[in-house]
Amino acid sequence: MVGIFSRSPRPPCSTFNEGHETNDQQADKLRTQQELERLQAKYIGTGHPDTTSWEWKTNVHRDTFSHIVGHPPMLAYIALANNEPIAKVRADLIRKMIQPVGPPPPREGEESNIVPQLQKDA
Amino acid sequence: MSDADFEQIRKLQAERNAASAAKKGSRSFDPATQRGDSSTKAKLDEAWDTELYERQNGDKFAGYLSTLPSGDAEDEDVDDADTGRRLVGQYTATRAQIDEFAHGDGVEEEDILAGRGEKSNRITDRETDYQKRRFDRALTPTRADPFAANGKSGATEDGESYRDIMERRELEREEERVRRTIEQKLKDGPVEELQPTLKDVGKKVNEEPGSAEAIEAAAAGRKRKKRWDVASITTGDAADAAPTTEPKKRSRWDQAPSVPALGDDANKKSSRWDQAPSATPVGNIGLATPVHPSQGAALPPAFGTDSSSRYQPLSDEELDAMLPGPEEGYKILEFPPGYAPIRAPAHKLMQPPTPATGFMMQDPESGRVQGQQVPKEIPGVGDLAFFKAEDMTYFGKLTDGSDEDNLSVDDLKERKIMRLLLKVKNGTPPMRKTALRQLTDNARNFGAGPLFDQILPLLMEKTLEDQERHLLVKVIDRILYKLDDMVRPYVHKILVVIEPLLIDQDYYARVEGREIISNLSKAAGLATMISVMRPDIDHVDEYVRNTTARAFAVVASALGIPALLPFLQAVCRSKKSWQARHTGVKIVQQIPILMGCAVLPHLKRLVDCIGPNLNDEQTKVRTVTSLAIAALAEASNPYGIESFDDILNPLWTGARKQRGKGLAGFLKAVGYIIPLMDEDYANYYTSQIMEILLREFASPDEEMKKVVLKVISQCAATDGVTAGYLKENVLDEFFKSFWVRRMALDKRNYRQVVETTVDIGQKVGASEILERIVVNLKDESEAYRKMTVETVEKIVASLGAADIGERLEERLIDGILHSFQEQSVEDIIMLNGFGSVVNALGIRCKPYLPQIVSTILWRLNNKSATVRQQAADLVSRIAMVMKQCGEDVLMGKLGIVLYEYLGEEYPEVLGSILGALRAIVTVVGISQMQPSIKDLLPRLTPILRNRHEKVQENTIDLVGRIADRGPESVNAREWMRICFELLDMLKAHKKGIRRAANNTFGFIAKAIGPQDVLATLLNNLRVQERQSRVNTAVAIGIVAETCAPFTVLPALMNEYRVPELNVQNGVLKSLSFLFEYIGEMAKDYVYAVTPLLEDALIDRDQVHRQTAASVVKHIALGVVGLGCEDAMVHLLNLLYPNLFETSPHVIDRIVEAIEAIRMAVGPGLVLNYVWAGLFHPARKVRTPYWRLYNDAYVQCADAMVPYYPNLVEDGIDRGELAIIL
Repeated sequence: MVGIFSRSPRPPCSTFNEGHETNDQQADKLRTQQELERLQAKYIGTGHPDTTSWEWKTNVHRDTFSHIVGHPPMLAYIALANNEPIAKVRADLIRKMIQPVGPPPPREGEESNIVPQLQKDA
Repeated sequence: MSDADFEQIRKLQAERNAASAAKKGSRSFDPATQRGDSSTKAKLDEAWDTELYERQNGDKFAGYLSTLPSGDAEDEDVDDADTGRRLVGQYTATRAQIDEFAHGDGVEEEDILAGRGEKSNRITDRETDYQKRRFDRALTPTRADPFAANGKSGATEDGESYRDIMERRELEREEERVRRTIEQKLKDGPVEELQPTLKDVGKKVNEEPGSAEAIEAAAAGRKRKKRWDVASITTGDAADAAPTTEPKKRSRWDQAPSVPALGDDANKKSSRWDQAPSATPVGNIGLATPVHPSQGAALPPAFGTDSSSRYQPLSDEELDAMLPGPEEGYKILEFPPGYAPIRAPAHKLMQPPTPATGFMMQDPESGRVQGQQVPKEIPGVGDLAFFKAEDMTYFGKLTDGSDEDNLSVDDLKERKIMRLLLKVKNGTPPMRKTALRQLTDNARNFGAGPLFDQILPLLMEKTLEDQERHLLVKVIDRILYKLDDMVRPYVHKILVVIEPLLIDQDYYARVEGREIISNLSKAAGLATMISVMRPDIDHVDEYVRNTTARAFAVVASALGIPALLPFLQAVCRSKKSWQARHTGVKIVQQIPILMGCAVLPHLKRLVDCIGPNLNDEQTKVRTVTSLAIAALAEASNPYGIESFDDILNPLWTGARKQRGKGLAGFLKAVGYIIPLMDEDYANYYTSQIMEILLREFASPDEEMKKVVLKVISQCAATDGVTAGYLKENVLDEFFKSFWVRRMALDKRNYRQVVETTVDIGQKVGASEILERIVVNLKDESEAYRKMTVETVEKIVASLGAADIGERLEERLIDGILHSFQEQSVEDIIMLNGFGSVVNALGIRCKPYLPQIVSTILWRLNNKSATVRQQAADLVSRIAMVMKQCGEDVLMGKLGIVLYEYLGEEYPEVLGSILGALRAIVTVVGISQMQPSIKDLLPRLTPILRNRHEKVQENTIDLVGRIADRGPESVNAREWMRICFELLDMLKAHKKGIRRAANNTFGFIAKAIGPQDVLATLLNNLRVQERQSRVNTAVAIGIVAETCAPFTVLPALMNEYRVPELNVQNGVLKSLSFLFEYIGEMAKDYVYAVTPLLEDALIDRDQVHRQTAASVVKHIALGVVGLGCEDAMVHLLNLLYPNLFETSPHVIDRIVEAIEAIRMAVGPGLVLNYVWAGLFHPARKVRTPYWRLYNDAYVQCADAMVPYYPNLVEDGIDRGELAIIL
């Protein structure tokens, strides 16, 4: 598992001009590509072969938090276990969704220091 | 009806059947059972030649009278009705001949010109004269692009400016006016030579009645400024001279910009947004030479006209062939010295003009002869789907065989475009696709000029066909996106060829045209569109104004109404020309037609924009304004009455003042506004307008009639108008003027009257209307009877027959029956009318049923096929009512007669007869059916072989019904026979037939047990035809569903052992359908089929694994939550390696199967397989894994949360999930 997930992120590139292809296959690929784009516009958590593991892990965490926040019994359970008010646990979980696995890894040849966009008191 | 009648009909029928059987030469027609034995075997105890030897038990005198005719012999001779008994042979034309003359077959089939007639695909062939006027338009020279950023557009320098065009339009108008004046004068008689001075002529020209000038001058009541071109008549008149020298106060949008070069030095004071840009280079003025219409021919008016060849000089060879030669004693003279042939300019004009681009120039060397022959292949293009002679004009260059190495870059580019266009226009679909893509991708490299210079003339070609136009328009559409603002100089050219699409008959052509213009306006921008189309708004040609208005409406819908409104307001208030106002209002009219209720937010402003034009001094403008208001009101229905408040008064008072065509428009507007009003207002305004409407009832004008009818039905449908009001004031007048025979003769009037009557009927009730029109059912005019029947049908179908009195009911049935019998052409309207009335009356029909049935029986025996068909159709319509009335005996008789007719030879009729039988079986039930099912079904078996769709559909329906309701009435052997016949039905083209056949398999299997049926079906899996195998598989699935899977599965699995790919695949397919149909029942059979699936999933053949995967999918979906997880995981293990298949069908099935298993065993387990590959180094691995992941994520993201890998090693574990209380 470790080996898989600690791979260095690769720059997103979606060129598929490997070898020679017939028109049919090209059209087919084009369609698949369009479908995928539509899917991703609708569901943020979906991925593609160039998704970095950082992106994926971020989504995993966000999904987990929104899962808990979205099911009141879960939220109540965790609040009870932590001995905290439900509202506070909820706010904490939502706040944790900002860069849950840390800042994105720097791209090649680029300084990275992306500040979280949301305010702290959200 | 009496039994004697019935017997007679049967007898006649028997004779007909015998006659037809004898004609067909069936040796073994059995008159006793009325049945042609279709078996090919000969009976040993029967004579073969029935012509010479009499039939053993047959009546050889059938068809003859057995007694001598007594008194009524003469009647027999003159009687036209074919009763089947004739004393003398009829010497008449054969059926084929009659049909030939009736339909014109044979004449038209051989007609070589037929292809050029209505059936032709050529666009010009189906265009009206008005639409053909598009050829009058010329592709104007490229325009300058004043809006371009610096040096962006290459065409800026040499293009025509807005000013040039406005001037030219001005001149055209002037020419038109002079021409009309001359015509007028010629018509009025010879001009007195001595009287007029030069100045008077000028004045007369100006005051020509109907000219915009004269009217406006009169209306404005003030002396107008003379325009620059008029002022040039300097005859020393002081009054004329004064305004000329007067400095210009302001420039108006609709005035042609003054031209300084002509001596008018006045400077413009202000510049307005819609004015010609002052940035136009002054140098152009010198070029703006007015074009004389006689020179107008120099503009290319028609490209590729094939008449050109007629005017070409005859070649020497042709002359030699035509004229006598030296051997006859003639000799060819030499030119005298010093002779030069005369080149008359008129001849030159005849020849196709050669534009600067030169693309359409015929190769001078190829000459006449080569022009005729069409090359089979164009170098560098490959095999085309077709190549027309006309294409040579445009693409001839490709065949000249010049060396491409010596050509300039521009020439090469031109040839490249030419080749691609040819591929798109004439190529096969794959060629077209690649060529289109290349054109699109390289559009910016090619440049707008070279592209449009070739595409647009092609679109002007007279012999263009639909398909070609579609493709070329598609090319334009695609390159528009790429070229973006580079198209600006070509906007007008594009509009010239695209605008005609907006008035095409074909809906899709219109949509395509709109699409292009909307893309064009988005690419070129509003300013360019307005400056390009502005000169066409008051064009002399009505056709141009009309199409421009439509195009402007499209621009409005593309760029938003608010953007265009200021311009529209200015145009609608133009003082200079009424044509501009007319076009402006027309634009406003087209906008709601195009956009529908999307005009609502801007309704008020649009109405205000055209409101003042209701009082325009030009009738045409007033009319179009009222039509525009009607269109706006129609589009905004039921909202927006407040926007019309301001114009209600002018509209209603205007309606009182107008006459003729103007009134029609006003009434139309009124008709559309009334439904928007609330009750009180609607009532008030209706009563206001009704007086005029009643007056116009008597109008002879067709258009007016249509409008009046429409308004009446709109008023009648409004809440505010009461039934009492209508009865009192409208009905009498309405029926007096519109229910007359003449109205039935014109198709449009007919429909309108029927609609209006039905609409009024909705308010005043059925009996009120029926009472008035029921007499017409016995009218002598057939069209009028038909109109009445249609009205009766619609009214009765929507309002029922509850308020029809006893006497009316009698007259109604009597009338309908009469008109049904009297129809000379069998019409669906009569049939529907009869059916609707009988069904509406229901049990009240009982007294009339014997008479109706008697009519049907007689008509069933008619000579004409359509009459028989209609009668049979009527039976199926009224069967339900007959049952309600308890007329079982009558139905029995009908059933028997229909049964006798199963030998019918016309498939359409046979289909109807079967439909009628089915209707009877449905209502009387299997057990009471007469003839008994035992007799009926064997007759149906051979009919199943009939290939006609209508017959197939009705037979299979009937057989299926019998198999469903009363299978026991027929023995198993007969059912098996039917099974065999049904197999053929599985190949039917129509889905309904295949489905019915499949269901029938199920019923039969239920009736006689699955074993025999299954054996038949399993054998059928071996046939070659795929369609048939697929349907057999479906049928097996259905049999398994109806007879429980355990009866089928063993045999099916045994069949899998046959070492033949088709069979094994068929078995898998059957299993797939089987498990799909049985659903949850699958849980008992999972472990039984698992070994089979194991084998199938590791087969070498792709399709095999694919089919197995779909079986797995259906099993897995059936057993969700039923405890078969272990088997599912086992199958998953076998499925999973197939994930790397690349064929789209295979991979789709595999992924579906994995998803189904995920449903069965839960996401946690299946996702464990997925994690391994999401971040695999190879993209080819990652791709399918992400696909699985995405599918899972979309379907059950929530359920995945607990199963994500815990990322403890990365230090980013999700601790919340580990909390335990």
